[in-house]
Amino acid sequence: MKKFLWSLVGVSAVLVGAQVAHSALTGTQTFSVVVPSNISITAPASPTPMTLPDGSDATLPFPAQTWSVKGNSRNGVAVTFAVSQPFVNASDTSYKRDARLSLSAAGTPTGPGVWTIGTATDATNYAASTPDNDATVSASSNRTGQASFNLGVEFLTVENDEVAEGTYSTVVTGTVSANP
Amino acid sequence: MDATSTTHRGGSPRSLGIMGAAVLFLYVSSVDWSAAAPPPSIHASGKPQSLQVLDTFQPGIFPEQSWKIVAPNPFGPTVAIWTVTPFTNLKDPKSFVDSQLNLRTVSHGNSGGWQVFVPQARTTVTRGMNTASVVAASQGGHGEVGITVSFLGHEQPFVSDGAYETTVVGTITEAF
Repeated sequence: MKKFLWSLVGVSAVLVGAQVAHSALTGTQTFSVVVPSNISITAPASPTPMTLPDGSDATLPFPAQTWSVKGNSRNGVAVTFAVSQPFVNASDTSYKRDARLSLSAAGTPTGPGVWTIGTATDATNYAASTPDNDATVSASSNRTGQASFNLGVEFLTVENDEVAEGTYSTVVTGTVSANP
Repeated sequence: MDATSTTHRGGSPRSLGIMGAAVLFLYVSSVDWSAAAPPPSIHASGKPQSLQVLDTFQPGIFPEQSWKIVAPNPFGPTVAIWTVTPFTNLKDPKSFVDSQLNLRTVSHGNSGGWQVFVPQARTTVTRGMNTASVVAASQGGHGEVGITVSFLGHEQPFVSDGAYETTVVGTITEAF
């Protein structure tokens, strides 16, 4: 009689197991989210005009200008800071002085991206046999993130006597784009 | 003689046991169990959902989705589990965004048996928690629940651009 009961238990266990396995069913639903691109670069306010000391032949550096760059491109961003012409005299555009740019990191970046300085220094050379009227420095990241950069801008003086009086200016343009 | 008698007494129950099991097996095999108790089912009432995140400082919350639970056996203990994994960037499988599930009962069924046991769960990729499950159970009978899915991109300072996707899987198990 005992074995008979065990037989019943065994058969029942098999049946229950089969029924439980048979009854486990599933349904699914898919959810999609689109995160748009969000890339930006923020320029500092224009610096206070600098005055070239009388008789000085020294290079005239502006205080470092801090730019902020961020991007959520999954492959990071490329950023450039450029001038398309040297310093030009506002009253007489034939008078020019070369501009030099230098780029360095400012503070600690945030986000997973690693930032790398590409070209750290460049200068115009308007008086060269083949004039070089622009200068570009660059940096890039490999993932999303935000970083700040110190951009140095210098007014290059060769001979003070050759610098005509007046106001000289140039424009730095910062450009950021997503890496492919 | 005693030994023979003992053998004779022992053989009869064994035969009964084997016969009983055989008869029970034949009976069970001949019964149309699917007709007697149709299998339960679970399915989402809505279509695939899509959302565009414009404010990355807030979680992306999808509209609540209705799920119908069909459990024909009114006496069978039934458990329904909804599971989700983190949202994954379709072009960068290394980019994840945590997901969250919220569960509530919309219809308890005729017997009022459907109860929520785990109303909320979320993934946390940074801690290795890559699945989240919410749970409801009943003594049997039909029911309806609402599932709300959230995209927790606001917890990351920088969420990669692109399309992310996850799938909610609902599983119903009826024990008997």
